[in-house]
Amino acid sequence: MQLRTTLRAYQANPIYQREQGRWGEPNPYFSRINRNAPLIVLLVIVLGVCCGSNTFSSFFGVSDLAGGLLALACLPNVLVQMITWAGIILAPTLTAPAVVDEVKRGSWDFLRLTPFSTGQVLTAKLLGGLSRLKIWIPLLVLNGIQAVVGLAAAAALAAGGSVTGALLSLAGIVLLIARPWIEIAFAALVGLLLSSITRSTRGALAGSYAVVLLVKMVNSSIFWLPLGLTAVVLPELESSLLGLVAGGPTLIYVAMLIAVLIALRVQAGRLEQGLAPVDVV
Amino acid sequence: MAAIIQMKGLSKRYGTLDALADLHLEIEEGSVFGFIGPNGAGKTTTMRILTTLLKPTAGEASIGGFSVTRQPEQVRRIIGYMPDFFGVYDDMKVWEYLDFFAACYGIPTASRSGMIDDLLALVDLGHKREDFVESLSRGMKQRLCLARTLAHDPQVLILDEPASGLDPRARIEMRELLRELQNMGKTIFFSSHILSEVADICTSIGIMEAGQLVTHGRLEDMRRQFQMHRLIRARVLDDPAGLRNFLQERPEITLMADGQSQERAPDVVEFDFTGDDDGLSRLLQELVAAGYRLVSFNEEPGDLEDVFMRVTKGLVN
Repeated sequence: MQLRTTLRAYQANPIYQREQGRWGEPNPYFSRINRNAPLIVLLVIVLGVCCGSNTFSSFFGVSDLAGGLLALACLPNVLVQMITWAGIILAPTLTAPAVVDEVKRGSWDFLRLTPFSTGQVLTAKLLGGLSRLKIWIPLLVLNGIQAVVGLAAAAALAAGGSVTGALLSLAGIVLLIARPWIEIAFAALVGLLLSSITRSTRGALAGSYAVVLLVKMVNSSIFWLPLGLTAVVLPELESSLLGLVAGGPTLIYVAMLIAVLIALRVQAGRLEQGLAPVDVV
Repeated sequence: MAAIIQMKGLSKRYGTLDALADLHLEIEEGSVFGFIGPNGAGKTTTMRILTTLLKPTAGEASIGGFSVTRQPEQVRRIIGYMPDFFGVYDDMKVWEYLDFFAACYGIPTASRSGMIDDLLALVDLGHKREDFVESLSRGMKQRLCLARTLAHDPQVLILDEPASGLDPRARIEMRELLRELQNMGKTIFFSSHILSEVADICTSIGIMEAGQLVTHGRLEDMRRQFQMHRLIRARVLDDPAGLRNFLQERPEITLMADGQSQERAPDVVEFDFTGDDDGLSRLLQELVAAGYRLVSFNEEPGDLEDVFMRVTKGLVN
C-alpha cells in the first residue's frame, strides 16, 4: 500500500513526467538507440539465448520430478534473459545522462531550486526514465509462470521428504525471479551514480556499460561451472549446489546493488550541499 | 522597512581559499540591492548560499525569516534565482518550459495557462509562445529564464549578472523589466559589472572585494561618503565674477578652469569643494551673508565608478 502511494506520488511528479517525455524529449540518447531498435532486438535475442539456457542446462540429466520441475521453472529464463538484456542495454541510456546533462546544460540548479529534495529529483529521474521501457509486463508474466512451477517443485521435494531441499529450491526460485529486476535496477543505478559523478555524458554512458557488462559477464560465465560439476560428482549435495548456481549470481547482484545504493545516497548528499560533480572520466 | 534578507558572519572556504569571509549584511524588503565587485570577489558564492545551492562554511543567512541551511524548502518557495550561467531546455516549446517549472512548484494545471500568458506578456515573449526554446536569441532566453524565476511568484529575486552578454537594446529591456518588478513590490538582489546599470536602478549597493564586503549602504549616502571631490554649481543674479573672486580665496575650493567646466550659462559658477556637509552649509550661509543673490546652489551627483574605484584596491582572490 505504502509502495503504491509512493509510486503514485512519483507518477504525479513533473520531473518523472518530464523523463517520460511529457515536456519535450529529455533524452536524445534514448531516441537515438530507439532508431536502431531492430539491431537491439536481434542482439537481445542472441544474448538471451546464450545466457538464458545456462541455468536450465545445470539440470541436464536430472531425472526426478522435483528436478524436472526446477528445470521447467528455468525454461522461461531464455525469454527472461532476453528481457533482462533489453533492460540492461537500455537502462543506462535512460539514467546515465540524467544528471550530467542537466549540469552541463546549466539547468540542474533549477531542479534543485524546486521544492523537491535532491533525493526526490534523482528518484523521479530514475523511475521516470525506467517507465519508458516496455519490458515490465512481459517480465511480470514470465515471473508468474516461474513462481507457479517453482512452488510445484518445492511441494514435490517436500512431499518426497526433503524439506531442506524444498526450502533451498524455494529460495533458489525467489532469487531466480528477483534476478532480472535486480540486474536492471543495478544497470539503471550505476548509470545514475556515474551521471552524478562525471562531467561527461559519454563518460557516464561508457562507464556504466563497462561496469554493467563486466558484472554480467562474470555472473553468467564459467565462474559458476565448478559448482555445477561438483553437483554431478557429489549427488548428495546436488540440491544445495544447484540452488546456489541458480541463486548465487543474484546474491552477488544484491550485494553490488546495495553498494551502489549507498554510493548514490552519499552522492545525493554531496549534490545537496552544492558539491559539483568532478572530472573522473 | 524590515530586513527580508539577513546574513550574519557568512563565510565560505574552499581549501585554503576564503571565497567569502565574515559577511554581515541586511537587505530591506522591497529594495533593489546591487551587488558589485570584480570577478572572484565572492558575489556568486554569496548568491548560491542564499539560494540554498551551497552550504556556508560558517555563519547564518535567512530569507523571509527562514534559515537557508535549516529550512531550505521554505526558502526555495519564496525566492527566484537566475544564475549567470544557465541553460534552458531546448527540446521544449516556450510555454512548455514555463509549464514544467510551474508544475514543479505545485501550481495547479487549471491556473497554469493564464499564468504562463501573463508571464510571457511581462517579459515580452507572448509572440514566441509556440516556438521552440532553441530558436530564441540569447536576450530572449534570458527573459524566458527571468519568467521562469517568477513562475511561483516569489517575494525575493536573486539575479546573478542578469544583463551579462546582452546587446544594448536587450540590456535596456532587462533594466526596464527589473524596474517593473520593483514596482510590483519584489525585493531584488542582483549582481552586475555594469556600474551605470546598478546606479540606474538600485536603491542600495554592496561592494565586494576578495571575499569581503568593502562597503554597503544607500547609494546616495555612499556617493556622498566616498566622493573625493564634490562638484558644486551656484547660479547668481549678479555678475558671477564677484562670486568667483570670493570663492577663489578659500583653500577648500578649486574653481573649474576653462575647458573643464560644464557651465552652460554665464551666470553659473562651478567649483570643486573638498569639505563635508557642515562646511558646505557654512559656505552657503557666508555667500548669502555676503550679499550674493543666489538662485540655485546644488551639488552634482557623483559617479558610482568614483565610489567603486575609491573603495576597491584591485585585490583578487
